[in-house]
Amino acid sequence: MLRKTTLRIAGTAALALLAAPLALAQERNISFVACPIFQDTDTVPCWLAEYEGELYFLGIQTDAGGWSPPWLGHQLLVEGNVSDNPRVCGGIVLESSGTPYDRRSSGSSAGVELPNPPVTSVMRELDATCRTQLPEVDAFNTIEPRRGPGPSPAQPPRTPDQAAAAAAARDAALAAEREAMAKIVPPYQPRDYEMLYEFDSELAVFTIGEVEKALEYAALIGASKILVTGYRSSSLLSNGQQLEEAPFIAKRRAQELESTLRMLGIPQGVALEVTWEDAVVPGNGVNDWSRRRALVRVIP
Amino acid sequence: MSTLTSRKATRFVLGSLVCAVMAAAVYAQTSGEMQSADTRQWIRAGQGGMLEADAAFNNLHGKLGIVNAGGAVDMTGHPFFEPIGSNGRACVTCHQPSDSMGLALASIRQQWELTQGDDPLFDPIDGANCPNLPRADPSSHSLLLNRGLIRVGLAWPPGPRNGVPVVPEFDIEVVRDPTGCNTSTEYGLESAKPTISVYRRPRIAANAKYVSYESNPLNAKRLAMVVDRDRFTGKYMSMNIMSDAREASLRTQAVSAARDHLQMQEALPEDMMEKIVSFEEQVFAAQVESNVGGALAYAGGPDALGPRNMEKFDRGLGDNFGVPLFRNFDMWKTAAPGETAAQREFRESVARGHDVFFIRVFYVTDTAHINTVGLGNPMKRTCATCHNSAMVGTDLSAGWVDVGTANLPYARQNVPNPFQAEVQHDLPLFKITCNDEARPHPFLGRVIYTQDPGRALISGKCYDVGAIVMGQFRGLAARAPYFSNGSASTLRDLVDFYDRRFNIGYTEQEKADLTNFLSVL
Repeated sequence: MLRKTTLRIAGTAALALLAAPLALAQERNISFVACPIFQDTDTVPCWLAEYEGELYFLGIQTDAGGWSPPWLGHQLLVEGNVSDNPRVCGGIVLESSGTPYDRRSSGSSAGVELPNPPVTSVMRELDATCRTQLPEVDAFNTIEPRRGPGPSPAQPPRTPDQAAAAAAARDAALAAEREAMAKIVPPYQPRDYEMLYEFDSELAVFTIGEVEKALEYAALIGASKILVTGYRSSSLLSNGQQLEEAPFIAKRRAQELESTLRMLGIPQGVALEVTWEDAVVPGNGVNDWSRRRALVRVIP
Repeated sequence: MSTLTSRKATRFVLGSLVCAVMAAAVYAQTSGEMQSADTRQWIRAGQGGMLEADAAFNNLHGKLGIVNAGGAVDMTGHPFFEPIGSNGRACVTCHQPSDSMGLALASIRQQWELTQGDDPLFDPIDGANCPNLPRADPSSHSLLLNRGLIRVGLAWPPGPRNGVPVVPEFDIEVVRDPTGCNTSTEYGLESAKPTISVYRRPRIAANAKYVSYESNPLNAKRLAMVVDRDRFTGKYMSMNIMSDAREASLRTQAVSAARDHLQMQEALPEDMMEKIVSFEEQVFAAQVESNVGGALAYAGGPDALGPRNMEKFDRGLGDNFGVPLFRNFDMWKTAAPGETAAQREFRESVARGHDVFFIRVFYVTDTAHINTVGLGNPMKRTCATCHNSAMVGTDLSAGWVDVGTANLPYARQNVPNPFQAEVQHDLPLFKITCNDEARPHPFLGRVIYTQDPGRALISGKCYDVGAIVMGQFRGLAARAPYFSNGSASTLRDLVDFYDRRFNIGYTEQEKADLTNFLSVL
């Protein structure tokens, strides 16, 4: 009896240990849907959102890549973590990590570098209530953006040496890619190329380049088939609700990829199969963005 | 500088000028500030003669310069200038050197008066509001005569893109059809060949290297889209030639224009196509003289101005302080020897106008394909953010945008009211209803009223409804009116549109400066 109980406790402890990182992540994680708020400053605007009476800072206007600031006129799904940064524009600073997006620094606030913004998805339909555009106030004039509201900073023309070095670096990178491809020898293995999406979106804006890589690999190995699979998922919100994507979105993702592949040109002799799974892949509140995806599998 | 060197051409031009003065007087009553002293040097299809390497043509603001980088062009026998189709038109009919290789309303009206509508320009196929209207009646051509618009009949549903079928995401209904063409049983949406007629300004066939070039196959900015491929060269292209980007290259554009506008019965022969494209690739257009400001292109002056500088520089992203897209106007901020007071004042105004364009910040709001491509809605930026392509002010990326020139509620239209017996609507109005699975228009939703669905008639996408490819900013003084539907009669109208649309709050000084700046490009 004792042994059995001990075993059960040990088992529970082991499970708890396994679950601990998830629980910890969930503790810092916050996911909600709200209207974005445009808060102007004397440089570029801050983007904020309010959830359960608290104001959160999402990011600043930036063209640093990776993060698309919200749109007034639409609600926003926010999926991020509470950061240790001091408040910015009055909001608790949210961040994200581990995303596949290129998220270069967008700037700083009061000398503190801004973190990677949370993952945000502009909701598909209009919401006329999301129209809050707040004017500049002195207290929030702390933003030092990498790119201000005007044209890019002046950059002196490259010297011939710098230009040559840049060209050499590009050539070296291309040569390395070619070399890596040349090393691929039979027996060839299937390879997956993953596209990631905003909530309810069929447009793989930040990851569409994977399609070209898939086609390149297919051509290199003389693939027999390219299999496209679209998926649909849900996001576990902080209020416990599972926010499901539209029923048709897995199909639309697959169809968009099919169209893209065909426009880019399927290598001769390669069959294209397009499928999708309408069943929802449930979110657990941690990195739910990673389940909004489609796969392009290249099969030898 | 002479332009037409054959005796025949000279005689024609003199005759044209005399008649044009008469024509201008006729139209002065109906067109407000329109072109009262604007006489145009029209080149008829097949007239022959030489188009010099450097040519200049008068317009209301001064002179437009044309440069043929390959040297003087013999127009005799040249397929750009000869009536190679069946209706007497040539490419030059709608791409006049005097009009910055486009077509000014002043020229259209002048030709109507000179020929009483007999010029091939007025061929009913697209020079009338609908081909079934009586040719000699000016009201049949009201959109051409009042707004400078050519009918563009597009098959619905659209054909494939890059060989892949296009499945439209929306239904389209004709709400208003003042031209009768969209409800015509012969030419309309319910005809044997379902067609949607929209009405657009001819675009300029010059400065091609800035708008037509090879591109990466994937365009992330345009929503992870594969760009169009030129079927003649196999290259992926920039998609900035046409208002709806339906033609991938100058080659495919020449082929379709010969078929649709010149009514060429057979396919455009390849040698003609290549000669047309070669001409277009070497011709540059820009304003070269200002009535008030004097010469625009001179050593030590702003090096964005004049057609020789268009030839000299290359395309690039100009939204930066390193090499600003229209380069540098600072030399006009201080007095130069020999300037008149009026010249000084004008040049200072232009230099300020450049700064308004380049660095004056405002909120760009609810603009599909601008606010939706990574900067947020609204975004706090300048004119140069969207009009970012060096020397021409288009978008370096594929540049279709719904700024509101075609879609309600922003598009200009007459407002029905109880104080006028009859309110005239001249453009068609369509109702677009997006299907349930479509990604809706980002700022207008699933039901959109539009005078021209723009790019959506080609892509079939709801989010493209009303999106029009930005036009070049060069030679503007020579080719009023502006926007694809001719809804801005003057440069000031154009500035006013943006001021209203984005609630910019330009001062009168800023408006005047920006207008003067645009007039010298």
